[in-house]
Amino acid sequence: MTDWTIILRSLSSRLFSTATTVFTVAVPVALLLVLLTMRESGRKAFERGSGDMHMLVTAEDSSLVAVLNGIFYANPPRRPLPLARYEQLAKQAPWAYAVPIQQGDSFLGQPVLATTPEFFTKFKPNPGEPWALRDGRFFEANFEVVLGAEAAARTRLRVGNVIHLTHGTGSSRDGGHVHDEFDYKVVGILKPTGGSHDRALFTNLESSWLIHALDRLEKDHAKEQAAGQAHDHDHDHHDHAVTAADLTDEDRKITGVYLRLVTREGSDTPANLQQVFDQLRRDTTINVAAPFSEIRKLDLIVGNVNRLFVAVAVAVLVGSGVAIMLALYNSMDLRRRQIAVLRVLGASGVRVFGLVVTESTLIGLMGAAAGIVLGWAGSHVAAMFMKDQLGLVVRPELTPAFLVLVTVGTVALSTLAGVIPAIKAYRTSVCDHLRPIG
Amino acid sequence: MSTTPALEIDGLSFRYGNGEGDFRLHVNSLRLERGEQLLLRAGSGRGKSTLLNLIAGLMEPREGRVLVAGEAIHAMRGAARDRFRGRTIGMIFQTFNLLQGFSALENVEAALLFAGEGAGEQRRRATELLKHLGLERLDAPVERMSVGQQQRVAVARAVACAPALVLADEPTASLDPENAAKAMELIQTTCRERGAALLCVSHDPSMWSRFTRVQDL
Repeated sequence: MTDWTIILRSLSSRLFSTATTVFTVAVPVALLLVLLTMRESGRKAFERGSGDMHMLVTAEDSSLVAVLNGIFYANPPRRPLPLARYEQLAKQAPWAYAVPIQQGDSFLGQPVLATTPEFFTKFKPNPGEPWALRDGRFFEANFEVVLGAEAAARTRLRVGNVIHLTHGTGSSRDGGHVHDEFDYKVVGILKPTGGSHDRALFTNLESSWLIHALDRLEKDHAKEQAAGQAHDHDHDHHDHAVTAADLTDEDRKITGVYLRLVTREGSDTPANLQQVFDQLRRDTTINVAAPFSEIRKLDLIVGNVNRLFVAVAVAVLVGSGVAIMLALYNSMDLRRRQIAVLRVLGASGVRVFGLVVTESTLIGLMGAAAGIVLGWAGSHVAAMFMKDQLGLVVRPELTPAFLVLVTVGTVALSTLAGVIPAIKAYRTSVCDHLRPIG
Repeated sequence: MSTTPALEIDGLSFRYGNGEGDFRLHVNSLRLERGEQLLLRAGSGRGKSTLLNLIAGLMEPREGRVLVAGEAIHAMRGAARDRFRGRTIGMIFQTFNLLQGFSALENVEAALLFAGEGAGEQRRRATELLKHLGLERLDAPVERMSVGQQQRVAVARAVACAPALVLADEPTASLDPENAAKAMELIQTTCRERGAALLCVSHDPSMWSRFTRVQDL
């Protein structure tokens, strides 16, 4: 027998009380871990999404909204930019790349990004890490589609499959409808990047413009029919009729441009970044956003809320410390005889004090361990929620620093919580509690 | 065996409170040799349990001194006194005061633990002692044992550390005459075998004849 035998037997003899006390510690520990982990992982996920671009140009009103929509696919951008503005922009500065993007279509709820081949050859989804294919190749012609890793997993598509995109997101809000006139062929599947692009499908701009052209033509014909103009041909389907020749400036629209300035080797921030940024911002018809800066703003906004949640979690944790104290303190009434017997057998008051404090510490340790398991599970649930609801691919990581911080804090708190019951045990009158009961 | 008396009391006095009707206990002199067995008889409320608690160092006397195995127990402080008690004095109670939720083996091992014995030695000595006293289910929780078996565990625990002195406080008060006789026989025999002096307090007249030395408190 050791002191541990006495401690563990004491805990197991009050199994329900011990389990509930451990649970009351585990819940705030888990909450704290989820909050700390998701904040850190969320920040990393946001940083990953913007890749190596320096600026995002859109026609949105708000820079933050532009970043959330243009990079994280929060919602399809509502305001397009004419292609001519892009062509003008592309000549405006010494760009390493100026990649146009067009959003608004979807497939089974996954966003579609129409762009140019430079999106894969020049834009890097993570700084220093170019795109990599898991299977197939990048798109080369119209109506070819490349799937992000998460999109491929969700849609279960493989290279060679043929799909039909939805114009719009498919939600009732934008009244999206499936364009089965255009067969898109899956030609490649990307390796995961850990960013928001993993859940997107990629095709070229002209394919997207052709869908828009068809929509435009159908609307025009509908108007003509409503006006009672004569028809001598069938306009039900224009898929074979619509070609690049039918495209007008109204069709050739984009929703944003990913921009990166030429930098010196080994440097990510060019000297003229601020100057170019300010110069572009003079044009009030466009919105120029620095994704990194917007993400930091978002982190500050979220961070304030997060700090509040962390404070609540810490308060609950302190409350659980009080619960430990009460559970042990109340158990002392039932254990006075046992303590008296231990004293008769030669256990000193200090040793009895130590037994009770260790018992309290052990409850804290078990609570921390259970909390870490719960926190790990909770982080993954939260990550799934963020992926489903926000489109943010978050990789929850319980870093050793968080684990040590939370465990040490919890154990210290529970040890402290054991002091008052331990004093009560220390002061237990031996003689009074050895007498026969009744 | 050491020739130092197991117990020497000299001018011991104890008093609760300060008023006229307060409880007072005074023992002028008492000496118990090694291996000797003494029955102290007294009616209820005469301070039998108080005397045993004073001898065990669980209470502080107002005056006088108590030497157990030649050591002045009240001169010791804190953990030193507790450790000395664990090693030198065994105690048997009317209601046994076994550790509930622990096995017979663990109850005896607990006494050896606080006497500073290692786990292996605890297990060896506790097993040997309990088997010697006729117990078989050593791993059974004590609360599931019969009164007789619990009595054996209590006796084993009291003598586990080879104490110089065993204090028995009304050890048969809750037993019927037949079982009381058996219990007292067990205590006396075990103390004799282990060389421990026995100081038993009891108001049960049927026990008096079992002791060669009987003294009134």
